[in-house]
Amino acid sequence: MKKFSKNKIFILLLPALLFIGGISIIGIFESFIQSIENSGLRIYKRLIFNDEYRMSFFYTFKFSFISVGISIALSLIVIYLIYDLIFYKRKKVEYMLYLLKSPMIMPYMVSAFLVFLIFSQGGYLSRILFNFHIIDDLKEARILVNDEFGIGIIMTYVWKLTPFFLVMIYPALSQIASEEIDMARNLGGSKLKIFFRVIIPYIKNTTMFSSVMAFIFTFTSFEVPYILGISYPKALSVLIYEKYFHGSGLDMAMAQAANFLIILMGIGSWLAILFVKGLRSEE
Amino acid sequence: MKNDKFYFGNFILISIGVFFFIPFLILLINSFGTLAEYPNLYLLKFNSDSWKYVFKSELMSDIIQTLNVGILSLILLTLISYPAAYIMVRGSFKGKKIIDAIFMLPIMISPIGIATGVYQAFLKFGISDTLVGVVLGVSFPAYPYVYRAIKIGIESLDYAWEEQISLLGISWINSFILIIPRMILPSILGGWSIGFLVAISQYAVVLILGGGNVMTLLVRMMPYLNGGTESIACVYGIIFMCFSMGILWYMDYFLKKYYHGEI
Repeated sequence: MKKFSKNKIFILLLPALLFIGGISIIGIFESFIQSIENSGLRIYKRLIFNDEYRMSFFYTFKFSFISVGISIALSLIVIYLIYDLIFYKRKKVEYMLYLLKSPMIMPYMVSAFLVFLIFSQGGYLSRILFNFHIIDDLKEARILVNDEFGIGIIMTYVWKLTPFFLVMIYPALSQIASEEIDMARNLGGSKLKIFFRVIIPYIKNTTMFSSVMAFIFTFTSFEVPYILGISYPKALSVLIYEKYFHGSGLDMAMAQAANFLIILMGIGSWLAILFVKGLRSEE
Repeated sequence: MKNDKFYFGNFILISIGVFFFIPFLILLINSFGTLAEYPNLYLLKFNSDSWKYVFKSELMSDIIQTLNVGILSLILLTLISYPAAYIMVRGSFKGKKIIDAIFMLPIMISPIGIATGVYQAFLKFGISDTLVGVVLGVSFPAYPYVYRAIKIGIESLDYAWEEQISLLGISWINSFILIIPRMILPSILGGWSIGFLVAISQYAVVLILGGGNVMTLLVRMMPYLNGGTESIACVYGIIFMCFSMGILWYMDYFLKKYYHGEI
């Protein structure tokens, strides 16, 4: 490594740090200031006791957790199915992954819209079922979108997050030397056992890190629940958005208070990851 | 026995692949007219009304605006992340871990969370509801991806190359600006692909910071999603995806030519 002067280091880093740090700090600061504008710090107490926000929080937490959980499970299943192919049929695996990665191009808005087109009561699936005489009436079609369980929302996220996990985990996976797996197989390991004893430890860290990222992303996202959600409870981001732009001063303050708490949650996870990574690396 | 298992796994994989691919087809089909009343599966009027409507509207200016946002964002991001990535890889100083963590902040703080706060600040600076504000806003979530890609590129560039360059009498500044980017071009393009995609896929940020003045494709599309005009929304969806796939394909093509020494 070359010895760089302190000034040079500073100059090269400054723009990026200024940008990221600046926008973060401005956003966090303004959010907090706006939240206490109306009734000071008591707004947070009111927030916690507010039914609408509480229901919204649990609803959002639920569908985020389930979405991420199912996506991880699905991607692990795919990995289980292909992990031994990686070594002698890599081209085939990468081609297949190419297909599986295709949902990443579609923005969340369009994905949510498609779920709506297919799974709504008047949508494609319902019509197909009707034509096969599985259901007899439009009203019999299960409500899958704009429902209270957020099934449509979960479907959209699973569709988009599974490729995300595959993309994140695959590099870690391809670093496993084939000799390790051959050795495990020679020692009598079944495919399942090898999966749990050899593969999982290698991809554990990446998976956990990606899960946290995905959870926070899902929890704070706006577009999908906006299109596929219901009026009560709303997803947290949707609630905040609507209260902020169409509410009274008090509503706006409470919205910013909720917003601030979410940001704190994000920073908390960030600190936690920093801490865990610090414990783990020898740098 | 092994062949059986493989065949079954193959089948599952193919069905998963198909499952992921069908939505694209549905988008295409639905853009050509409205579905007949329930429960028919055929299109009521197979026409291209929606397509004509979209093409007659301000589509061109929307596309240009989207391109503006994307490209300006990439320029900004490259200008700030390249130096940072370089010094983080090549320099030795304390506090690298914290700085790396700061650069990962946009992933933990959702852009919507800070958009409303940032908008207030932009009001004071006079860049609210402008393209500048929007570019700053969409660059924030895209930064980690561009930064990471460039960082990996520099890491994989053997330092011996830079030594050789300086031995040839080329100043560090010239090497930094003119030569090294050329050598890590694939990584830069990779970062650009993801960064561009993230930047133009933002909806809420553009809406909040742009305030209706900056109309990208997705912002234009949203009202049609909730209304009754699904086919128009489908048209916009297809245009958007052709657009993003086109950009990605072009970068891929450029990369291939690079590797064959034609660039």
